[in-house]
Amino acid sequence: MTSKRVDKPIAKICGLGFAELSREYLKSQKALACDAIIAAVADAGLQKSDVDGVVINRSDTNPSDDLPLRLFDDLGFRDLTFGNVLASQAACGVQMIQYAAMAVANGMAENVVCVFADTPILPKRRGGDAYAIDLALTNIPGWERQYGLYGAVGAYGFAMRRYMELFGVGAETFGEVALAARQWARRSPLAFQTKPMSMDDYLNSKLIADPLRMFDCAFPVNGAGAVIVSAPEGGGGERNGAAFIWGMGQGHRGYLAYSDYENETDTPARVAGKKAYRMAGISARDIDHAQIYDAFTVTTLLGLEGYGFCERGEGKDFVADGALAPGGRFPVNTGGGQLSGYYLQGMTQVSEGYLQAANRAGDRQIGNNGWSLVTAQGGRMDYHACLVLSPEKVR
Amino acid sequence: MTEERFFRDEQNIAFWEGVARNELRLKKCSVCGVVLAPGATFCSECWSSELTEMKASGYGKVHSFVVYHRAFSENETPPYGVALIALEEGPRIVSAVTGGVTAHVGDDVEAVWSVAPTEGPTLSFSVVNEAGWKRED
Ligand SMILES: [Zn+2]
Repeated sequence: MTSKRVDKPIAKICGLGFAELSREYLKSQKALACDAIIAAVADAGLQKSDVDGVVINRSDTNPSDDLPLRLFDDLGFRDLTFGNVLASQAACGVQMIQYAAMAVANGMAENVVCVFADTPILPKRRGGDAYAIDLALTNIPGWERQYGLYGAVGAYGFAMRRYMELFGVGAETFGEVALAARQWARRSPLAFQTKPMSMDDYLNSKLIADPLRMFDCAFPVNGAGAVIVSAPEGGGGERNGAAFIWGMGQGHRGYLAYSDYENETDTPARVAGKKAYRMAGISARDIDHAQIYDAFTVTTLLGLEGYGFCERGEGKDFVADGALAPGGRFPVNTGGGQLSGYYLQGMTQVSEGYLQAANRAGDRQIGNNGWSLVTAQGGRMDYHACLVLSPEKVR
Repeated sequence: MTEERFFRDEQNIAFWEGVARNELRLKKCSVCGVVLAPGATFCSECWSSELTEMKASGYGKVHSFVVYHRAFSENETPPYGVALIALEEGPRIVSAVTGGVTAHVGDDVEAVWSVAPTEGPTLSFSVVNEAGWKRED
């Protein structure tokens, strides 16, 4: 291991902008991305001419041409020194921040805008139908389809069932995660699902791929979010506040469906966390609050375990009694997450993590705001990335 | 959304011919011995491309299991179960458990071949916890 403790932050996030988030199709991914970029640049107190880098996180729900580098045309960018489109699935929401941070830390750019845009909801497609996950384990095209395995709900339902039966976990544990997210959502002006939810509401929500219910699933929206990443000194953010990036990590694996490889309940979030904590010179114990990728309730539990807040299989006790909710022991997904807030893949966690670490989270601001963690993941929990943030520029 | 549920491609004709004989044919690495999925073309462990074919015994365990309560296409009538079966040789495959929705992680299962009206032989698994695997060797 060659990673080292840093004595100053790598970079900062210093501006956030959104396009209109909606449950109907309003405009294209590219148009949404432009809206978010313009809003983020203004939020950071910067001008178009200050932006010299653009990184795009493209969603897999639509064809790649929907969010291309041609975005530079629409926004009239010239002489950018850093630019790319990332498409290694939802972990990219965090990964693009990492690449931007490395760029500004090494002088390749000064102010990089990182944008995610998505339109899972099309005029003829419901949001939930956009997320098909191909679980092609046999490598024989057609085999899996014979059995009616569809969508992310199948793959994540497998993970949920296995987690429940290996560790003796009941539906209420997932309910705790959903309820905490809903309570936080009620404090966020950005959140979509703000109706109060009881454990009975959770348990009575529609089964989709048993044991996975409606309220175990993220809430898909169309929209876009963008943040500005700059060097710790200079750049934007003086006006609205900055979050400093002290640690960054990734953890990836191939999904190997043979022998004793455990894909469902043990993820390489472990690898990502170790790297990031080591870089920041801290441990999981030092983290005060976290934004954990929660496309499904089971991913919150596996994220808490993978990032070292509790041991493997102990998520059940860790989340009990409203521990993740407002007033709880360990605040998680303080904007309602993807479950009750809005699903913009990794950008959901990035945006809320930034707002908290920059002390901009309004009614839901965490007082105990030291170190915080932001995570994202992609695939069938195969690709992980995280950031360690702090409001502090000096240690 | 109508998608072709019973898709067969040219490349894997030999595999589907095996299925027509009620055989699930797996791949085995000649170098490191790991048993891989039917469609493997080289070994993901040691990167050797020397693979041999072997017939699955049909015995395994339930690795995980879901029951769909929503139809994602016109081909399915919910509720229906989909299982991840860990074959005793090592590979995991997507399949179904016969007789409804009562499977659990770790259940012993054995292969059951049936003939669908139009699409030909299909493989599912039945839970044999009480009786155990009935080997015919
Ligand atoms: Zn091998």
